[in-house]
Amino acid sequence: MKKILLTSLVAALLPVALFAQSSPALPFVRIDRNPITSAMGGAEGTSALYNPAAVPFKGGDILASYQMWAPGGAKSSNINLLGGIKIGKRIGINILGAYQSGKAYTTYDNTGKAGSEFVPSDLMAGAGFGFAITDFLSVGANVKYAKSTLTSSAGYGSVAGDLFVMFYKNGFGVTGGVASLGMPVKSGEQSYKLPASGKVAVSYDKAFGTSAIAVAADADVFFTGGLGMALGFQYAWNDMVFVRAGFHVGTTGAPLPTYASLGLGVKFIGIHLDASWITANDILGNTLNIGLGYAF
Amino acid sequence: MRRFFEVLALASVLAVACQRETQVPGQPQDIPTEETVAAEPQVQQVKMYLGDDLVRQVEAALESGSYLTKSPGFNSALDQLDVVSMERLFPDAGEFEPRHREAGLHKWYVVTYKGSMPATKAKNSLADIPGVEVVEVPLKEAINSITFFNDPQEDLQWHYHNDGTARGAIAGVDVDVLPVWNNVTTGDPKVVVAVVDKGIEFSHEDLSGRVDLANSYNFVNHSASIAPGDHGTHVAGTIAAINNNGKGVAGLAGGDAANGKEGTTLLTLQIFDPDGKGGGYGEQAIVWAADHGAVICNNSWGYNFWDEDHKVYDQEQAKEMFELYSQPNTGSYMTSLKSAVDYFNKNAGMDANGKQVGPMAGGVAFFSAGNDSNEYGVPGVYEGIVSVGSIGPSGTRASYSCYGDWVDIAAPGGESQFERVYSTVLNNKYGYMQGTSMACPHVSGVAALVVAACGGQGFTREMLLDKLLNGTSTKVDLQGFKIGPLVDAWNAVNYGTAEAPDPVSTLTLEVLSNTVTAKWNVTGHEGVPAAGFQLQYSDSKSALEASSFNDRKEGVMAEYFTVSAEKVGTQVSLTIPALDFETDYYFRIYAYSSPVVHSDASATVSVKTGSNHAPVIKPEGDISNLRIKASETRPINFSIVDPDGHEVRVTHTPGSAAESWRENQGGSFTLQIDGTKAPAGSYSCRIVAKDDYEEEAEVTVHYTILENHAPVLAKGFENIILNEKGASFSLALSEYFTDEDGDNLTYTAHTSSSALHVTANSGKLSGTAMTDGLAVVKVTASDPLKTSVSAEFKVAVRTSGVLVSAYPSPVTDVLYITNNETQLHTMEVKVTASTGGVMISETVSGSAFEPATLDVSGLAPGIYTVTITFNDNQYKQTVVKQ
Repeated sequence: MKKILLTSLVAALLPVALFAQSSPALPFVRIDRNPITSAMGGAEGTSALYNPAAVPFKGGDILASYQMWAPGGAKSSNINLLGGIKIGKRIGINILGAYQSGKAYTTYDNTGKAGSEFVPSDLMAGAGFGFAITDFLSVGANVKYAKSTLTSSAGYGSVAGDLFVMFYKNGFGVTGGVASLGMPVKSGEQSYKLPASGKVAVSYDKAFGTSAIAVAADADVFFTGGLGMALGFQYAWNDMVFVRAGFHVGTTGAPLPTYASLGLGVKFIGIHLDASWITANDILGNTLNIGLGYAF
Repeated sequence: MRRFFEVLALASVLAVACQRETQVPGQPQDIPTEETVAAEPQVQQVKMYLGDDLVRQVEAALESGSYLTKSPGFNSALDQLDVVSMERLFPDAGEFEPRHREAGLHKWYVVTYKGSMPATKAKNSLADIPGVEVVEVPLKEAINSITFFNDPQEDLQWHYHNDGTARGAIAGVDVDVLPVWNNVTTGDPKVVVAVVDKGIEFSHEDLSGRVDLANSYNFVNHSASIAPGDHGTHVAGTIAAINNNGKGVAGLAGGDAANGKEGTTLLTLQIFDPDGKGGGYGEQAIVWAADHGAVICNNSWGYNFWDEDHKVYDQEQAKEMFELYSQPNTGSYMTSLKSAVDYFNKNAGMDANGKQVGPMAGGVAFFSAGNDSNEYGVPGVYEGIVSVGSIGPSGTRASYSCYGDWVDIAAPGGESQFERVYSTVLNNKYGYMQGTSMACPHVSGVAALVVAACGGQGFTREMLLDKLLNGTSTKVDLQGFKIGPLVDAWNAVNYGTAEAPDPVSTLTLEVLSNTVTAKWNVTGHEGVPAAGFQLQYSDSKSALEASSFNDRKEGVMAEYFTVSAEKVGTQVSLTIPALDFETDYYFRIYAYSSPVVHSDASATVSVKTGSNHAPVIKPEGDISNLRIKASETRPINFSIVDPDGHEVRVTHTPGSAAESWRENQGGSFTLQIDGTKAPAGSYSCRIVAKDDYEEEAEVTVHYTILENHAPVLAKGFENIILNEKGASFSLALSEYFTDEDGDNLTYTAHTSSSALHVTANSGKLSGTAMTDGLAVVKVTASDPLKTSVSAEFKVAVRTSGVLVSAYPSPVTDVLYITNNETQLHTMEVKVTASTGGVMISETVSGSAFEPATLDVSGLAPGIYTVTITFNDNQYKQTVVKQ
C-alpha cells in the first residue's frame, strides 16, 4: 500500500517535472544544513530540524553548524542555525537561520576586459509550526524569507514555504508534501521560479540492545525540472557514537547534483557534535559541515 | 550714436571763454552768467589704460556683448560702478588701426557709469586691479577765452599789422605777416590746419570753401553734423579768413581770392557745444586730425580748475595736473591727451605705411597757455605741445595770460583794457574776442604760412619748429614776461636762409624711355648746404630760359629737392617721370636757402626722351605642359617688369577656381594652382601686363588637373594575440595601403576596447596590451582629398595568463567563451548552480578572435560555476547571472 502510494505520488508529479526546464532561482534554500542528515545523502524529509510535522513525534533539538560549501564551485562559508522545539504533547515549532558568504568573483565587460571584484552573499530566515492531529498523524508548515546579493546593485529575494503531512508509528515515518513553494524572482522582464518540489520521504529506526540503526529516503520532483533522490543510513552505539553514510542522486536541472556522503557524531547528556563530508562530485566534493546541538 | 557727457563742468567752460562784445539794447556788458544744466541723473566717466592681457579679455568680452572678463576683480569693480557703457577712447581707425595699436591707443578705454561714487573713488578702486595700468579722471576742458558781447563795427586788425593807432597800441607789436603776403605766400590749400574747438561756421561769407567738411567731425554727439559756435569761428577766421574778397576780415593763411589763390584748408573738429554745455574728448579730435590730413592742430582750450560758478579755483588740483603734464608720457604719468599729442606729432602728414604724403612729415600741436594768470597751464606744459602765451597791443603780457618757462611762444591775444582780436563770428558777423585762445591761432596761422612756403618732401616738423621758435621777433622784446618770444611770420619764413648758395654746375641727365633722372652735386655757402633745389624743365627752351625762380612761364614745370643730411658735394638726384615720348626737354636748376634767397640758374641741359616698350612677362621654368595632381598645389613664379621703368598693371584672368594670383616684391608674381579646388580637367588662364601707356604683354598658361584615385587596401591585416600587459605590436601601414596617385596618406586608428591602446603616427600602427579583452581595431587611410579606405582586425589581449575565459559577468543573455587559439577549437562547457546542480552541459566551438556563444537567458539570477574543458584541461570560472 505504501509503495503504491509512493509510486502514485511520484507519477503524479512527473508530468510537472518533465515540461518545466528553466533553472530555479535562490537554489540555496535547498541546501541540507544539518550535518546529521547531510551525512545521510541529504535525506532530511522526516527530520525534526527540517519538518515541523516531525517535531511532535521526535522531540526537540537545536543546532548550530558551520558549513564549507562547494569548494570546487561557489565556495561559500555558511553559518546555520536550526531548531525544533516541542511544546506540550502535540505542538512543534521550527526555527531556521542561515548566512552564506561566497567567493569573490571578477567582473568582465562585453569585450572580456576585467573589472572590479565582488563578494556575493545569501541570507535565509524562517520559522515553522507543526501539530499532531492524532498520536500518529501530524501536519506542519514552514515560512522562510531568502535573499541573494549578487552584485553591488543587484539582489533578489522571495518568500517560500513548506507544507507537510506526516505519519509516524513504531519508528516508521512517512512524509509527503511540497517544499520551497513561493513567489518567483523577477529579473528584467523574466520571472524565475523557486526550486519548489513535491516531496516524499520515509524513515525507519530500530534499536537492538545498545545499537540502533536508522534508514531514511527522500524523493523530490522539482517543478522547474529535475529529480532528486536521497538514501541514508545511520548506526548508533549506546546513543553516544554515530556513524552515517548516504548517497544523493540529482538529475540535470535539479538544484543538487549526485554525490556520496559520510558522517560521524558523538552525544553525551543530550549535547551532540556531528560532522558530515560530501564526496564524489567535482563541485561539492569535500564539502564539510560541523554542528553542535542539544537534543531535548 | 552715443552721447558722452562730462559732469563737473563743461557747464563752466564758457566762464573762461573769450570775451565778446555785443551791443544789444538793454544787455549788461559784463560777463554773462551761464545757465546751468538742469539736474540730470549723474553720469560720470573715468578713462583707463589697460595692460595687454586685460585688453584682450575686454576686447573678447565686448565682442560678445558684455563687460564680463576672466578678471573677477575687474568685473566686480565695474559692477560696483553701475556701468552704462565701456568703449575704446580712440575707436577703430580702419587703415590707421595698425599704427593706433602700435602707439597703444587701443588700450585706452572710457567707462561711463551711473551712481553716486565720486570719480576719484572710482579711479582708486579701478587702479588697484591687476591689468589696469593708469586711471584718469577726465579733466574739464575749457576754452581759453573770455566772452563779451560783439561790436559789429569793423576794427582794424592791429594784430597783423600794428601801426600804433589802436587804443594802447605800440607800432610794430604784431605778427609781421605783411612781407610774407607780399613776397612769399598767402597760404596753400595743401596745408591742412585742424581747429579743435567749438564748431566753425563753415558757411560764413569769409570762410566759405575753406572748411573740409568731409574730414571734419563732431566729437560731442559723434556725428558729421557740425554745430557752429562763436569761439571756433573766431579762431578759424584768424587762421584762414579769406583775404582780398571784399568782405569781412583777413586771415593769416587765407590765400588771395582776387588773384585766384586759395588759402589753407581747415578741419572743424568740434569738442564743445555752441553753448558750452556738453563736450567731447579733445584727444579723440587730435588723433582724428592726424588720420585725416592735418599737419597743424590748433587747440584754443585747456583744462579748467574752476567750480561751476567760476568763483573758486582748485589750486591743488591745478598743481597736481601741472606736475602730471610736466612729465613724459610714460608709466604712471601716461594720459590719453599726451598719448594723442605724441601720435599727432609722429604721424600727421604720413600715410598708414609711414610714408610722407603731406607738406610736412609729422605734425605740430599748438595749445593756448591758459587765462588764469598763473604758472599752471594744463596741458600746455607738456613737452610735446607748443604752448602760446598772449600779449596786448602794447607788447606786454596780457593780464590774464598764464606764464612760465614752459610757455614756448607768444602772440597777440588782446587786452580788454585796450584792444582785442577781431575776426569772424557766427551768423556771418565779425567781432572781438580776447584770450590766449586768440593768441594760439596766430601761431597756427604763421605755421601754416611757413609750411606753405617751405613745405614738401623732406620738410619735417623739426624744421618748422626751428623756424617758428628761433625765427621770432627781433623788434619786440618780451623777456621777463615768461611767455616766450613774439611770433614773427617774416623771420620764421626766412630763418636759416641768410646767404644764397652757390649755383649748380654739375647738372647731368639720364633718360630711360620717358623718364629723366637729373643728377647734380649739392651746393651751399661756405660749407653750409642749401636748404633745397628747384629743378625747372620744359619742352620749350625759350620758356625755360625766360622763367625765374619765383616766376615760371607757361609750360615750365618745377620739382623740388629738400636737403636733409646731405653735405656739400654729395651727388643727389630727382626723377621726372611721365614726360612725352621722343621729345626734347630742357632742364636747369636753382639752389635755394629760403623761398626768397636762391642761387642763379644753372646752365640749361637738354635731353631727348625715348620711346615706349611693352612690359616683359617671364615665367620660371617650363610651363608648356603642366600636369597637376588633384592633391597637389603648384606655384609658378613670373617676373614681370617694364624695360622703361614704367608702372605695370597686371591682370590675371583665371581659368578655374584652382588658381590664385599674388604679387611679391620686386616685379615677382606667383600663380598658384591648387588641384584640390577644381575638378579634374584642362584649363587655361591669361596674364596680361600693361604699362601706363597701354603697351601690353600677354601670356596664356595651360594646365591639366588630374583625376584623383582613392587609396586601396594592398594587404589584409592578421589577427593578433598579446599575452601580457605591455606587450605590443607595430605595423608599417605603407605595407597595407597604397595610393595610385602617389599621394601621401594619413592614417587614423580606433579600438573598440580599452583593453588595447592604439596609435597611428608617422605611418606606423602601434598597439599596446592594457588588460584582458578582445578589441577590434579599425585603421583608416586617407589621401589629401579625404577619400579613404578602412580595414579591421582583431587583437585578443590576455594579460592574466588565463588561457580560457567566459564573459561578460554579470551576464544577462549570452555568455562568450574564448580561448587562446587562433583557429576554432572545441570546448566542453558545464554550468552548475551554487548548490552544485548542473544547469547547462554543452559542447561549443570558439577561438581567441571568435568566441563561442552560450545562451544563458534561461538561467535564474545567481552565482554559477562555468567549467570549461579545453585541450584536456579543465578551467573553472565564477559567473554571475542577473
